[in-house]
Amino acid sequence: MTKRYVIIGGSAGSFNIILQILENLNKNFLHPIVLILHRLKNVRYGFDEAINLKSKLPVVEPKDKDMLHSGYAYLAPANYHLLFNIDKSFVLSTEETYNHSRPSIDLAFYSAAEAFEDKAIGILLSGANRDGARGLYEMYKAGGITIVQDPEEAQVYTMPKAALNIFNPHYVLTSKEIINFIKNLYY
Amino acid sequence: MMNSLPTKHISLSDYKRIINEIKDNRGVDLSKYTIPILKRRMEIFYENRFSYVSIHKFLNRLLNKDDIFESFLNFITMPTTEMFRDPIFWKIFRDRTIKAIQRDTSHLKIWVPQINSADDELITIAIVLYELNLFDNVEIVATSPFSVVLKAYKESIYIPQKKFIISNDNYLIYNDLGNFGDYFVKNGEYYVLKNFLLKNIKFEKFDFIDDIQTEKFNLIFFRNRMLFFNLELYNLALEKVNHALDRNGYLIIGYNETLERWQGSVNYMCIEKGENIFRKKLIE
Repeated sequence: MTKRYVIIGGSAGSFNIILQILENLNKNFLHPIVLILHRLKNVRYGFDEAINLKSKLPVVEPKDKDMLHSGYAYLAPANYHLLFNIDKSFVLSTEETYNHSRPSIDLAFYSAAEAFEDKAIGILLSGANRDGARGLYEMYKAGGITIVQDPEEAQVYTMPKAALNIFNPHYVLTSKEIINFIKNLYY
Repeated sequence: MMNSLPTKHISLSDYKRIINEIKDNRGVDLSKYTIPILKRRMEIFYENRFSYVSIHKFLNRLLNKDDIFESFLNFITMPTTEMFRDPIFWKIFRDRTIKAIQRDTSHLKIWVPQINSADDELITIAIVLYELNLFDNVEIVATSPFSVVLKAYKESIYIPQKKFIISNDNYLIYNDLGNFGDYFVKNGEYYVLKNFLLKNIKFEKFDFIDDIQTEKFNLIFFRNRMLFFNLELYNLALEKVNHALDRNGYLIIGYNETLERWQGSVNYMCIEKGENIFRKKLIE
């Protein structure tokens, strides 16, 4: 089976669906999950612990140059951009904020498009700004699978709608359908 | 030039060709820097300044026009953040690390390698030491492999308003009794750093790839610099940093960096775990 790299971007209103996704995957899940979530820049501790309480996969904040492994969910650290190398390692960056965000979902998606090409799966969830929309389109152009949370269902529809204004992703799914999609990557 | 998402892509083979030509013709080796950062910044520079020309012509201009090449180097090597990034780190540095070093030595000598042309970390160190009344008793050496970066310090350092505001917020967490604005003069949309903060700093050219540091330091500030190095340069840099650090000296790296990939890490002891402040062991 081909290993894929599931990159999930979320902001306001995405926390519960993230927890539900991680609750529904077991430890043998083949595809590394990477979470790019907008978070407070000066609060480094506690976020991964909170997610770990519910997650069946161990959730870790990667250090610079760590390799991506199956069986883990990775959380972008506070106040760093999270990027990917073609050797499937993480690259952290302290570059300027992008879309007022660091980590920026756009930068992570853009980098995933280059590093993983058609092995990337990009999922854009609820959020209150436009971060992620253009980056997800780059993933689409690079041959990756792109999924946008249905704006009708998203707690804050701005981010999913921004993506739908740019291009037609492969799927527009409810949170339940997104969870099922990821779970079915087993087969 | 703003950080943005490029719409024009440079292929990996074109990127490598540009890097090789720059090395051969300009003597500047960028081959050991992190590709996902450097390549995107190259694409942004290309798109903003030369989107109307081919990659071939873009490369020709980099090789033949000094002002364009300088501006290119300044942009791609400016992966920057803001001053007083991680204010809690700076409090720990002020309240514990500096005091610990002073117990060992009355003469503090600091190396800040791989600076950019308006280096937030360097300015922050200068402000911290100035507020501790240590500024006149400390030697600071700041280095960059790029002459254009060092040249920038001969002129005024301009800080954009956005960066000033974020830095001011950080500073207030670090020192709510101080006034960050005291260190700058407002000039339109920019804040100009007051020159006195740079007067004790020695600016030198130093490239981890080719150069050997002959001076010894008791503190090396290396936070978030290795993020922009590939694994080869990471190892090379740490060997040279290690060589330049006194026994019992202090090495500070970024919160999300690690020494563990480098074989010399066994000779270092973390003394502030949350902040990645290390002390070199007495016996190597």
